[in-house]
Amino acid sequence: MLLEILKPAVLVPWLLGMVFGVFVGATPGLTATMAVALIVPISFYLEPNAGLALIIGVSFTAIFAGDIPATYLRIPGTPASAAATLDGNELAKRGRGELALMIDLICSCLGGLIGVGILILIARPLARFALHFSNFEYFWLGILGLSLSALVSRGNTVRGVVAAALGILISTVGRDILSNVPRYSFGNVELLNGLDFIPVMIGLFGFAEVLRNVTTDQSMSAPAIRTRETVTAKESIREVWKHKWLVLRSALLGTGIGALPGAGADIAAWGAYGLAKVTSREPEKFGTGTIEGVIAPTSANNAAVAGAWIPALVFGIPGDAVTAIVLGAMMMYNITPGPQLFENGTQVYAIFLIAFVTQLLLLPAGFLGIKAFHWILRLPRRLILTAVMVFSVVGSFAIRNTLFDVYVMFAFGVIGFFLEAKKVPLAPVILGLILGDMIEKKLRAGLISSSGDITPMFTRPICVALVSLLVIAMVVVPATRWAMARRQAN
Amino acid sequence: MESSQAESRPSVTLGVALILVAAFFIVFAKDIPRVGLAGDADPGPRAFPLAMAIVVAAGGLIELIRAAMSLRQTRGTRSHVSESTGAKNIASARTSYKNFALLTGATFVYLVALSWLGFQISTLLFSSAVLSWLGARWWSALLAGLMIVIVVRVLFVGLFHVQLPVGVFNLTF
Repeated sequence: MLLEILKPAVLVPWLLGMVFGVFVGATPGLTATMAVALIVPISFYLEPNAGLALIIGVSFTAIFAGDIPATYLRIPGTPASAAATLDGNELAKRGRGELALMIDLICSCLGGLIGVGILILIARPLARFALHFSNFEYFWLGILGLSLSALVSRGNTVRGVVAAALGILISTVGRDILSNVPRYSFGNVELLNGLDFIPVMIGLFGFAEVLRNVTTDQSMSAPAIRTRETVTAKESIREVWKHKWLVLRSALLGTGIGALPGAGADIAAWGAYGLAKVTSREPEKFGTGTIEGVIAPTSANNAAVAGAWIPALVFGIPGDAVTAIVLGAMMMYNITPGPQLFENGTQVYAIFLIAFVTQLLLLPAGFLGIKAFHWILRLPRRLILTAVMVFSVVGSFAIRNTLFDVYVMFAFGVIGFFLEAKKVPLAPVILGLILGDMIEKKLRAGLISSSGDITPMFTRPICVALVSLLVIAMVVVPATRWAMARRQAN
Repeated sequence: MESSQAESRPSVTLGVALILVAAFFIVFAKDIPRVGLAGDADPGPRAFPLAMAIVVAAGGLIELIRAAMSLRQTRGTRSHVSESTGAKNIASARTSYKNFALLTGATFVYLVALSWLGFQISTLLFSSAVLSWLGARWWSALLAGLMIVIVVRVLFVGLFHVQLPVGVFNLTF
């Protein structure tokens, strides 16, 4: 079977697809979902193995590639890369961007391998566990993910919580997801569709960063990034090896979260980042350019992509939007997800093998992407900033082909500049915008199904576990900060 | 942690802004029906935005209280910043505000021009203008602007089939 999938007719489109995935994932405004959606029509002209390899290759690569602009430009290429921005970009400012991305690449590969390994071993039992998640469990999972991003962001915890609340508030603009009534649309058709998170993200992280650059005293003719000595693979591997248990822990967490339908790689990345911070010996260094801050989210987000395949293959329930598109493509190849897929072993093992080998092929594809962007960013700062602005405009426009999204990007760029100037963390705003709908929907749907009784929210076993984790995080993180402050004061 | 505390200096502006944003969402929540599906079991479409607005307002209030307490603590403490340093800071702040206003204004004009002049012309003009403002020679700025337009065109239109604005002149080259 290995020879079947490594023949040129499969390998060539597979590799080309991964290059395409790097390209799209690294371009702000173009998402992994878009990359997969664009490649699916092409896959239909190929034989089933080649088509599957093409789609699976693109999905994993695009998720990793979102970390490239996140690190160099502070613009996450995908929402899952927002967590990697915090420390990756700080490292890039110190001329260690390539190291951050090499570590990122290795961790993405390892995270993906671990995720696929778990997929192969425990797909069935894990998917059964996910079935025990009711609306309330998803509600608490969303709150936990959001709280972690608010708690672990640098600066004041209250501002982090306010940022998350702001993000959720923005997500309420548009039609109510349950009753379909308009909220804060003021009769405007565009507002009725709500604010898409991509233009908001590009505005907060992209345009705001450009504004910040032109208002600080920086040379515009100097290169956009400082580069130090060339990073060797040996150095990157050494750093990853030093934190091997963190890689494993983050990948396991990522796979578990990815297996929950709707949870996604972004929650996985933040969850892993938050866990890494609270368990770190030096939590105060997170956000300043620590290697752990790069390793944790990047190991988790690729593992989550693999985890999303668990409910997808076993029950036909896609774990995220990307997997949903891939499932649709699989059905076109007459591959029907569900328990019967495991009875006829050949097809499912081909999928497992393709997913496994994709992680290995990620290394050369990702390496090329890093080198290409590294070269690009040696250009003068003013050119990069201008290009970022134009890409921000076009990227925002490309989502729904409407100038409204471009204006949204602009508005949130100004808002982001102001928030950053006042040291309000931006990442919780984005996560609040992404998770707001899910959190509200799950809470209200849960209350409807329990006839308004809130007791199950605090008594169901998995809810108890999630609430306990939340309380622990809300106590441990501020306590750790207080202890560090006292230590430094002494 | 010290730098984190310094970074979290309370801000009256932030507090007021948060309260205003919250007030906006609370006031206009009146247009949202209170009752949702399934009667009283569903908190309704108004509950969640109101709850989040209250959290934001509370955050704004905390910010104002912290700012007031900070002001009380520093009252009477004379600043030992020299006149020359103070003047330098003011000049630097003015330049920052000026740059912010210029770039924001130019970007807004660019966005408006997109629908009139189309992507190619407006982007070429905007890119060239910004690059010149940031110190590039005019011919270098024009060339770089042209390259940016071409790269975006090839990528988004050629490869990803995104329909960029063509403007009133319907320019599709």
